[in-house]
Amino acid sequence: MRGAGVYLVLGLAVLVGAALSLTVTRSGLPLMHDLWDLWDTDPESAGLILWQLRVPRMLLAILIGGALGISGAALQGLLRNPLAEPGITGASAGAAFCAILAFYFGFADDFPLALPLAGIAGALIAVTLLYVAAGRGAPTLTLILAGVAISAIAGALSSLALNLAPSPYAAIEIVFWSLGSLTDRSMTHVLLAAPFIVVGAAMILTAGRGLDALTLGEEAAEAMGAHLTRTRFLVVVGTGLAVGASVSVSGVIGFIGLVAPHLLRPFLGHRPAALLPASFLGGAALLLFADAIARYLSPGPELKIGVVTALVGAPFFLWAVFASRRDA
Amino acid sequence: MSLAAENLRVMRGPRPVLDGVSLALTPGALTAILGPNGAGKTTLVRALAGVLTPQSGRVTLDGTALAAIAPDARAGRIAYLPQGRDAAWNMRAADVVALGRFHAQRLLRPLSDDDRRAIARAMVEADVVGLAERGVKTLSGGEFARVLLARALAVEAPVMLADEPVAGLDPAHQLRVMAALQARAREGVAAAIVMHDLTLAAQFCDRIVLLADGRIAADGTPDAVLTEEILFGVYGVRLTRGAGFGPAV
Repeated sequence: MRGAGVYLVLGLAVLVGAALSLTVTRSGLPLMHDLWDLWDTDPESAGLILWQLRVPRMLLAILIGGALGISGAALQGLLRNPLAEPGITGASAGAAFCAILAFYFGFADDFPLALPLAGIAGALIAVTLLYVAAGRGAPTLTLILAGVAISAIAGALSSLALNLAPSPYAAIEIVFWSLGSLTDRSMTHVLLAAPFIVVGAAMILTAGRGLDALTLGEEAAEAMGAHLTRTRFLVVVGTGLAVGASVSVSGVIGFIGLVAPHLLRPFLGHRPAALLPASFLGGAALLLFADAIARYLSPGPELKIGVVTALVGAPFFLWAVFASRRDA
Repeated sequence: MSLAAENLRVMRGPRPVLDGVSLALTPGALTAILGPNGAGKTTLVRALAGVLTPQSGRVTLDGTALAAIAPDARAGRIAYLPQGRDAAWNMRAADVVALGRFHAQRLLRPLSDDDRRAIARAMVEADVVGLAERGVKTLSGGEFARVLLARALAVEAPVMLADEPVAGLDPAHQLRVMAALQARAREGVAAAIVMHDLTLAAQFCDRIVLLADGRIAADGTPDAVLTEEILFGVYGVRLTRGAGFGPAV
């Protein structure tokens, strides 16, 4: 099978990334032996550090990186545009706004599921709006403008919530959360997000065939027997679930969904369906590495992972815009 | 399998693009749909293919309304090559041709031997075997057009509709593609193609449907339809038939 080698490499990358995620600390490279030492003297604390801090963080990096990667690949396939991505399309901003509302009104304290549900609602609204506004096979410019508009609306509403925040402390908490981070997340966060991400990713995977057909345009796809209504539904709801649940747990982590499919596409014969599972693994590996690097490089306060991905991803996006102009 | 349109009417704004068109495509015949720009040729094949719903009238496949047939069942019976030639991704030409077997495939099921045979045959007929490994975005317009035709041929449907399959092809490939379509018709396929080249139509097609202003101006054998008077009535220029068609002197 073509692409088997790609999956092997991606699987290895995820494993290495996961190992790094478990072992790298701020004070240096593999400090696993510190943990080993601790294990000898104080096995209880060592176990706590591993299971309460490191493992949830690693699992979240895999789940959220994967969710962003596969969502990016799916949105690109549906909109037939290599620049589509949860962040650029406004899905992340919509999810962030609704999650902020859940924080703000304190729903999240009484009812933990409120957070992912709010995030999912926000992402769903944003993706649906984008799909209606930009339409199918819209030119890149329309797509990006629609995404900018949706992000701007969600951003404005988020700012309003901050502006009206009851205390500066609450405002700072919200700002820090929205920068995007995997720090201090617990197994509870993993369990909150995982089911939605898994269901969302599964929905997206079943839409793969339809995305392949869409390569030749809507009319050709329809003539080939693709159920386009079903494909659209699966992608829109699947990304809504995956991105919404991710953002509600980690805040906005941008550009993973743009970079992962972009890098992998040539190795999978540019086939949208084959790109979906690969982008999940690729996104997971990217986020694991980005998180480990952010932790290792942090000088004073820990770098927020969302800041790191944006610093690397935004120039990449600019380059992709130039590249797409060259092609056109 | 026969595909029939009854009294099709399609409006674009206040203007009818098709106005009372009835047409039946029968197995074994290659039909050319000719007519000036804007006559409604593309609209007619889109309606026949089931990707456009007419305001009134209906299209039936062996007596069953097209709208009542499930998309994948319809896709296996009617192969349709749209006019738009556009690929979003730089997929390999062989993978694009394989999309012709879309209707026969299911999630996670690899191509069957039957699928592979249909794909290989279509690639020979459209002369794209040498392009198999190339990315479609690196192909020339004519090469890509042939890849898309191979995709439609790979369906191996009993009804085949193609919108300008020879536009943009070099003369040798025009002849080769027309011969392949004619051969398919001889095997019992009901085939209709939109085209502009009167000479090729006269040479390869069994039947000519001449559209003008959304109506059928003439329908019959090439000899009956491609006469100087009828062509003058539709195109407004005097064309005579010599070795091919040219301006009357």
